[in-house]
Amino acid sequence: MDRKRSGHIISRGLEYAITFFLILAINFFLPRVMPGGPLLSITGSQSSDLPVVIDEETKYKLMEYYHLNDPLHIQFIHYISDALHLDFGYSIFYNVPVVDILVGRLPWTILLMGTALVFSTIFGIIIGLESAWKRGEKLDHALLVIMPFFRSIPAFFLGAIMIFVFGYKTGWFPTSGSMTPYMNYAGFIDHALDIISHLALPMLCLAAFEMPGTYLLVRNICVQQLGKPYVLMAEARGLKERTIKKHVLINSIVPVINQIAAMLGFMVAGTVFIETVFSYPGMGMLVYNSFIERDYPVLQGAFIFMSLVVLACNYVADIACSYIDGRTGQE
Amino acid sequence: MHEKTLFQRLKSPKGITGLAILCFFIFIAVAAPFITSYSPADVSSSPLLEPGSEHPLGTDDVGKDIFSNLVYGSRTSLMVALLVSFGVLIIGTLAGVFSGYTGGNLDRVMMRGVDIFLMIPDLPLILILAAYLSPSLWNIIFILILMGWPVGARITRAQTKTLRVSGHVDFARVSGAGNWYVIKKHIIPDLYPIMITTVVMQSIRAILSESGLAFLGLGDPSYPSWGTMIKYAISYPLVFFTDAWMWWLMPAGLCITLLVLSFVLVGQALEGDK
Repeated sequence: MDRKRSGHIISRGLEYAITFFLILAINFFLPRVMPGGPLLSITGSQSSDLPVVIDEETKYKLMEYYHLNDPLHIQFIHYISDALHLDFGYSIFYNVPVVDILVGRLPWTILLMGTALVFSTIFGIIIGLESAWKRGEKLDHALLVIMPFFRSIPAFFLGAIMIFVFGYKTGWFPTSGSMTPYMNYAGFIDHALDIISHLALPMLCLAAFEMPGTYLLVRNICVQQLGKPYVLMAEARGLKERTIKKHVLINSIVPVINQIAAMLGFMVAGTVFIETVFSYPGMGMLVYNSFIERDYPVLQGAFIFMSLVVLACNYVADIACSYIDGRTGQE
Repeated sequence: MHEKTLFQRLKSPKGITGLAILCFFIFIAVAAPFITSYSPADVSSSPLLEPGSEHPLGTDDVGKDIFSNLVYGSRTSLMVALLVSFGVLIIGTLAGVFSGYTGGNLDRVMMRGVDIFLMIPDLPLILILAAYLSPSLWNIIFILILMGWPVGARITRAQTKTLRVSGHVDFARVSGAGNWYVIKKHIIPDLYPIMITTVVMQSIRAILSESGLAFLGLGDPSYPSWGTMIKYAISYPLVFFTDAWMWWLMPAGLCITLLVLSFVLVGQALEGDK
């Protein structure tokens, strides 16, 4: 059985590797098929505020430097090997290597997405299970109306309201950035508190964006589980409500984890909006800023990084599920 | 039949509420020129007026009438929703039926491709595409269809696979019906419920994406959009210090929320209570 599991893990890993390769290929071909030609994505636009004027000789040198005069397949090999060495070129706007910017931004996004994910998953599971248990009762009906309503609010609008209520009206939390600038911290705890208070609003906002999806998912899976014979058997044996819920939860956890991992790409979109509204210096705001500046290398590098994080999380979820559920990999 | 028809499902309280809100917005979009006398692009009024008899919701920082932007914004949202959802429906259904009905290796490769596609975070990719293309509503619609059809194809394909091995399809084939005949007469009609769900889900996605992209500055300047209104409202530094948020920020946000909610409610009503 163990061999089957490792075989399953390896084959999934290969699939993710192919996916990542395809993402790199998309990134390679996009600038080459889009209007403006590939050099546009390196030097920036002609029609921006500061138009880049290049004479033919420099242009040829640049084309030579970036291997743009080579045949396409040679270019592609160069591109892949650069990408594997984490070389995504230079930022047009900041004029530093793209990787340096990305690595500086990544921790903030992981902090924001990670805490929001933990928060929304825990609450989503608790509320979803409760709602499924009380299926057809008032609580369930109420939740089935409230949750979709939350889902209908655009993330950036929710963020704006939160800034207004918790930032301006009550003044409880800071509304932008990730730390107080030029602050002298008395100690580690002071520093941590400052980061947490800056994290609070965007995190709550992202969690509120993510939770309705988790709730509906958990509710649907648990409703299916509750109809199974083992639940009836457990009830007939007179087991306590808590014990039965535990059984149901353990049996539902694998699809829940898989689905939540699959929704991560969707959560990235929420992160872009929320980081933009709260000026939180993570990958999301970087994507927004580099879109506004038409900073193509950073935009594409950020896309690769975010895809890599999403794929890695999916792979971790797959591995975790194969350990939780012994049947994985068996046909 | 013991199964409720689509029409019966829509007659639930949720369905009626959703349809009522949707009809309200459709009415506003159609009757826009009669509801407001200002053009949404008209900047002739003085800026930052408070609501009054001339301007029911005041004016924004460049002197546009907020109410008429709100009214005309419903046209943009509904148009994007309509075009994107039908674009996804047509391409997704064709691809899904083809993949599910043919089966075999081709089907497996196609569905692997769709799985891969669904895992890619779509917003950064949309922004990259939009950064290369010029900002126009048609480009946004094109991109949203491009990124959306795999979802439609996946659902349709699953249902097609079930239908293909069901009794009446087998019977039709044994009776000598050709592939085209079976797909046209027995598969497509049985896909109608799924198609309606696809349209509803894609409309939700399209409205939220359009307003979101407009908020990020990707909007088409010649089409008024609720997302753009929110963008300018919160980038105006004094919006939260005066009462301007009440008539500038809130109405646009509430309109998006209500319109999306109407589709969500219709979708829930169509799925029926589980």
